[in-house]
Amino acid sequence: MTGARWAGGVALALAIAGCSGAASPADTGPGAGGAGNPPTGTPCVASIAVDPAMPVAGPAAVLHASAVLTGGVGPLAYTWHVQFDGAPIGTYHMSDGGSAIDLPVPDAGIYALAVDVSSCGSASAVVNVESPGAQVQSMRLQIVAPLAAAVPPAELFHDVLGGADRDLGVIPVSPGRSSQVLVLGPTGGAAAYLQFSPSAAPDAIVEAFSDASGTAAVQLVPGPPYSVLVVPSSDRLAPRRIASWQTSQVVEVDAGVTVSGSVVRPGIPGPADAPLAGATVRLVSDGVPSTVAVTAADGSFALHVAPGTSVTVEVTPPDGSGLPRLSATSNGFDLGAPVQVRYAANLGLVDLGGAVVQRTGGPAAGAGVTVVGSLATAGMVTAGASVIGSGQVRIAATADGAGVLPPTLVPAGALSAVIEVAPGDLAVTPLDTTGGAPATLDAPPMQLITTALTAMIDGQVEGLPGALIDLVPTGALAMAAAPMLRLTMGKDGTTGPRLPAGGHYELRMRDLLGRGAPMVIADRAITAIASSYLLPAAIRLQGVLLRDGTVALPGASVQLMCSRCSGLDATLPLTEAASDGAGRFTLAVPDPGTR
Amino acid sequence: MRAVLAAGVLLTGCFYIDPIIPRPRVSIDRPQAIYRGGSVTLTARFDSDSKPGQNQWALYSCLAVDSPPRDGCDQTSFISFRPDEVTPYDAVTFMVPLMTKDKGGKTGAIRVELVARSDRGAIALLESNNEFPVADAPPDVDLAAQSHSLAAGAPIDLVATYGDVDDDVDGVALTWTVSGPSSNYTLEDLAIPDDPGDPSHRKVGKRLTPDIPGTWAVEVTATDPEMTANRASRTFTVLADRPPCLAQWSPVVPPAGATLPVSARTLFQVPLVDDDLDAYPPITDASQFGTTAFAWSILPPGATEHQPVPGANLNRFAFDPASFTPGDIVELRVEIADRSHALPLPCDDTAATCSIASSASCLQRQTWRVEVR
Repeated sequence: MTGARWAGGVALALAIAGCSGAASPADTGPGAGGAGNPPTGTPCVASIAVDPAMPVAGPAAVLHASAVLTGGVGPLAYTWHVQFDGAPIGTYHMSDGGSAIDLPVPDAGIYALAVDVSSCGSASAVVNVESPGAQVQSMRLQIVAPLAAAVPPAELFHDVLGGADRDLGVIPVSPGRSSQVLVLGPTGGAAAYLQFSPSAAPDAIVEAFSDASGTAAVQLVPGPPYSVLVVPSSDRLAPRRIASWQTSQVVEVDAGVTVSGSVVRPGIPGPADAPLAGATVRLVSDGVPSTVAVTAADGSFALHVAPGTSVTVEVTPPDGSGLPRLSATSNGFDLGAPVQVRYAANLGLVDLGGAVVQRTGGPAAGAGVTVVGSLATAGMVTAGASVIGSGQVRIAATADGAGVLPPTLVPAGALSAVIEVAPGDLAVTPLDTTGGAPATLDAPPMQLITTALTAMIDGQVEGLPGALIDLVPTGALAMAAAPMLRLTMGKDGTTGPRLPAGGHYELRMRDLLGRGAPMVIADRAITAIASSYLLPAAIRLQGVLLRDGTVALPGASVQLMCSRCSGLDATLPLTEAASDGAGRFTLAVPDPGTR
Repeated sequence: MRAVLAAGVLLTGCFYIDPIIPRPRVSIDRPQAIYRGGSVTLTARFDSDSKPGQNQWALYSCLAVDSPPRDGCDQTSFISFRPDEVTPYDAVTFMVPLMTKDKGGKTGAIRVELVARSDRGAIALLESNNEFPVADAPPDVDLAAQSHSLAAGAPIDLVATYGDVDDDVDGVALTWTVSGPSSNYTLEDLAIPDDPGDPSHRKVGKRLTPDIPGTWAVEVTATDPEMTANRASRTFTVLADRPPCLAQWSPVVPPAGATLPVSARTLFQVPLVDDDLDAYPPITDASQFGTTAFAWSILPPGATEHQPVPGANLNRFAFDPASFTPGDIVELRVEIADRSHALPLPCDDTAATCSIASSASCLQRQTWRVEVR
């Protein structure tokens, strides 16, 4: 019975169902999406557009940011996140249904914008808001990746605006390509040292060695031509530099120019010339070293060098000769002509033997003494043209247990003695040998030098605990190969090292926390080191290192380099930082300032 | 005759009798838990004899279960839903309202009105309870962690982000529990700004510094004023401080048997050292970190052992070939140490490299064989 009744009910229901196919929009509630009504069409992608593109900070300045969506459908909700200087800020006006914001930008710096769009995704953008009247300074950054990353070093030049921190955005770092380089000499493959210098970034050097077959594997960035310095292991092949080298090219080396000549010195007692045996001779031709030759008993030598315009002839006399190293440079040397090196006849030699090395009146047993100095005239070099050679004195001796020096010949002149009384215990003392050898050489005790690093922080001069001063030896200390020293400021921002009396250093200061910008003070006597230094104002440069522009490059060193330096200074970073796991880095650099 | 007729009918199949179809029954799957502000899916499930047709859902917010429909539940539904597809939906997903619309209180129950029809249009009998209690929503809490390394002595930055949809977020209390093999850890406050773009959440940061290796767990419990709690936790396997590793050096180290020609004052440097606590360049954002110790030594011509260069404590060393005679072979060596692995290294002086780490590629010594040119 029940079944029959419901059979009729089914028929009725079918009829109703047949004419009730559509539901009015009012029937669709908030749960409709969750009920399995997914968006259709192309995937939704969000991005952020800003106006103006290069905003300048000011009391009334406003940055308009809007979410730009491609694809996707449906009602969308927008949630904005804004940070300035790493701190969230919430003062902005939303418009266009929340898809846009008007953000006051009274302060210059880095604004990080992010928007979450429901049913679409997220987008982020970093906007550099400039300071009014910002001055521009070009800065050189070097990026050195960990060995395991197999990424060649990179060098970047950035125009940095003053007055505000700056985000450099993504910095793509090319891993380059592994290349097989072949070094060929006249008889086949040649073992050699290779140095590749990209034309666009000469200091982003890549080095390699070729094996006996002449093959070298090297990671190079394709594209720009390289300048290649090749130094063969064989002393029968001349080192050379190859300009505009392309990665497919064979590196060819040969004997270059064979240069022969002789080295003579004033006779003892003189004045007739006497051959100088055992002297080492080398040439540097347009910056490329020659092979090295040692003079024979008759003073003769022969070496191989690449032809060049600017040629330097250098002679290192044998130990015990008392002669200075001689160096002469000229664009007029004729490498086809014999090279005659003649030490000056008026180089008086003084024997320091018997002189007593003292520390505060007592003998400095076992002290090491390095006599250093420069002589304007040490001799003459003739190779077609004749050029006066200058001299450099670097003569070492060690005192005995009574502080007495053994026989040690040095040139007569205004020299210096760098005395190492004990390991690391140095003193620099003038040594004028023009009137003969002194009876004693005094090595004053190391001097306590107190200095501090400070910076302006919130309008106050404050000490910088943890800040660093690297002391780079100059003058006599540098000639005696004294090492660089690092001083770390203590909790009060000061340091009190003991430094060699009479010493000079270049001071390279930096603060890894970025409270001040790096600063370099050239060649200071230790007694002229100030009691405190105020680091200049810094701005923060930040960026993200991405390998090939896509994958984070963590653990890479980012170094700020001197843009207008040469020699060693060009290779010493002003400051440095490492990229984190996401490839991000932050460097404190000098603020170029504003007008 | 009748029998013959009947048999004939049966044989030819000329008669049709509608089957007796019972009234369809539908039930709503009961969700395990319903919280204010939570997402809930209700599924209408027809009995096995029926095929689902079209459903019409209406959901009402009530103050409590068994509230009188007029007094305790909203007059208007917060969801009225009838799909327009021919193939009907049998589920509805919705967010539980925090408050009733017009009853002036937090939602304590959801009342469901479901008009379900079978594919033949029969209105189904709703079998199960159509009221569901709604509980206080627990705070939502997330615990994020970030660290340079998981070594004893290295800080682990923890950020708890919490909120509560149906209570004042500022009334939520946070408690931290650290468990590990030692009680000598430190747990310092870490200043983490809230996100103005997300006013419904707060952030609290802590910096945990485990002192010894082992398994460390951090649990953060968020408890709202109704004492409903939620937890988030992270577990860390903390290892002993590992030896530092030379991660990069320059110039290039020559292969065995070869020498590096140096003709001008040259900077030898270690721009990168990888280490748990004492990396170079140093990690500067926590006081627990230090930096690598560097020691340089040199083997001049004629010497039998590398001689330390006193005071050379930088990650770089300026080598001046003018201190030697062209043609001299000089070895320049750098060694690194951290707070847990002091120098000297246990390797023989003649070894160009040295590793005290479990991985042989992690070097603490590197030696350049230099030819003065």
